[in-house]
Amino acid sequence: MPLPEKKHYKRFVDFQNDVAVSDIQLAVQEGFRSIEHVKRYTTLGMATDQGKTSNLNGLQLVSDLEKKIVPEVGHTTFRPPYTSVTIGTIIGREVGKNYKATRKSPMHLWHEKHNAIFVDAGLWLRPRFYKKGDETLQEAAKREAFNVRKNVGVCDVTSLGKIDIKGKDSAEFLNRVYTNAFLKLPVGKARYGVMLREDGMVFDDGTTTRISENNYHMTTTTAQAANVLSHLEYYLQVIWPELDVTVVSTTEQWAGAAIAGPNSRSLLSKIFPNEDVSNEGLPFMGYREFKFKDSIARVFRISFSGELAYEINVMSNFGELMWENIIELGADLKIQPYGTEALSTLRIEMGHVAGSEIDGRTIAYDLSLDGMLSEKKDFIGKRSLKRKAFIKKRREQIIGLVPVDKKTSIPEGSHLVLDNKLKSPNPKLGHVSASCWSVENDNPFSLAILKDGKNKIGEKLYAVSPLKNISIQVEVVSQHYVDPDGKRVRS
Amino acid sequence: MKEISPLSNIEKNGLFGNYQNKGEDKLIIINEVTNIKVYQLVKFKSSSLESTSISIDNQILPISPNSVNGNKITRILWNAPNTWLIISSDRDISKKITDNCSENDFAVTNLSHSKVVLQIQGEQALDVIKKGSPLNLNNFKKNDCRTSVYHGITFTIDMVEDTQIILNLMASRSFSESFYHAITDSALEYGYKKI
Repeated sequence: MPLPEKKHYKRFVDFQNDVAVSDIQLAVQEGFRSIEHVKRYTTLGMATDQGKTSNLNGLQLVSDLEKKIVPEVGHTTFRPPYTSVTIGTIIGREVGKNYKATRKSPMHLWHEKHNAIFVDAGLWLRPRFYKKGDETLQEAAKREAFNVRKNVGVCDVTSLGKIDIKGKDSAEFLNRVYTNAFLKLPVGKARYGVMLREDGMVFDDGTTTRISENNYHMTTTTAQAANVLSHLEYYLQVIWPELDVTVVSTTEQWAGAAIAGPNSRSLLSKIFPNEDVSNEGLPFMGYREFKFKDSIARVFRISFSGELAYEINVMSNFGELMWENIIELGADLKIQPYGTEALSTLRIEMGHVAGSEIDGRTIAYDLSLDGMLSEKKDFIGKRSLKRKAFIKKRREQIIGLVPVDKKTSIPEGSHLVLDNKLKSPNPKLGHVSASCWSVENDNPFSLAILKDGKNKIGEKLYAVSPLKNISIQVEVVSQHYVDPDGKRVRS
Repeated sequence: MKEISPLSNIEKNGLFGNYQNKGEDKLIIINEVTNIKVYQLVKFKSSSLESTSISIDNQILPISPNSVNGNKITRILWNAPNTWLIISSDRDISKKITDNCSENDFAVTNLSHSKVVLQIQGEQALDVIKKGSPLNLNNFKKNDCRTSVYHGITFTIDMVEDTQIILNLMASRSFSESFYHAITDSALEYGYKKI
């Protein structure tokens, strides 16, 4: 890399990390002798090519400066790729919208044909709403959610994480992973479960069903599916290697449809006319395996919407056929497909927690899930719950909020304050985690995490959104704005 | 009732890319493999069985990492220690697996609907893989398998034949459209056909 006389151009050695000859000279001048230190000081060879295009030149330069031969200088640790890799592999190809890999459910084509507007959920594309005419997002979500409360709706839930758990120690494993008891869950029954991280924060929730004596079907949230699987693998391989359990993702094996609403049982009986789907035959949190065409269907009586609801899983190659079958048989029951926006509305007004509440900063107590913490057994994160900050009084707790004027929607992320006239910094009492238009009560409703929330029910506060420059007077109410006794899911 | 395979609405027959002035026998062939069964087999830690004592469709379980034992019907891929992936066009493979693998020793999980399987044939099939995956395929030979990524999508590659190169590529079903696009886009330079 000689320079012409009297020229002082910058001479790059590492073209990916922009490391110049002068950087390496400075490193040696500063006293870095180990080549590993020179690497870290300059970032030479730390780009995606791992020094394949720069290291030899860099080593030669250091050896010249130190008046050594290259083998005396040594080399840094070799890492993959050891052999040549095409640039296309590293940067991808110019393919427009196909640049980002996307995940689609087996029913995706049906959704496209029926005016679904999609939303990114991780890499998944999920229907957000099904547009009719000139409807806005809010109008469509209200229509779809209202139809679930009044008739029946169907939602594509394929993207929910599904994990197949097998082995003689499966019950013991689940009992340690979940905060609530799983040892005695009977075959043919599902149970809602909450997982904590080791630091005691809520990690994820979902239902797990006992398919047979040593086989369980776990569901996770869409967002946490891969993380939960890694979490389970870690504990099986590192912490409890003595447990004889295997876990494998079956998310893609099953296409899922949730049918929800007061007409959902009638619909189920039409889909499976030879099966007993009565409240006794398939009770709340029950599980049955039915024949669907030439295949099988797994039917779970579980509910995210708070309505009488079922989740039907069929093998993915039959997913579109199942969906069309549901729509066709549900026509005289006034079925409508609903997307994630209506799904959010339904869960918010029922007070069910989701990702915006399980945000890595809340413990079970904050989310009114402390009743799920078993005192009789150990579980991941239990000891952390005894930390001082976790047992102090007046922690933030989940509550509901209704605007006093019953008209103005409360923006998500708004701060809750006692007095909106105070100058900044106005003491923040909590924040709004999720908002919707309650189709049950026909007014805005929000969930919020509020300091000493349960004791503030009935009080009036202000929801302040500095970003939108608005302040709304709100009343603190129960998080369960609809059917607080949970009668519908058991009906 | 007809099953709908992952690419049944995506794949189209024809010649694509740089196929002109080339004999059809020189083109890469890319097809979705349908009507196959995929099972994951995991030996429990407590099992005292020798893995090599188990034979399914006359193929013993391979114990060398990244190797395959297979015939034209059934291929058994080493996937991880004590973990195998069985891919078969035999409709009765499920029974053959359960007949040979006791549930006390093995966890058997049906993943037949979880995967999209593409078969890619032709002299430049490996070049197509190199355009999107960091795998070192220089010494890749018949009955080798690897799991890697192709343009961000996790996939498994199984070399069925190495004289006239035939590769089976397997990815998660939900990625099927993106995966198919990535593979066929890379193949355009060489020209490919779908029969």
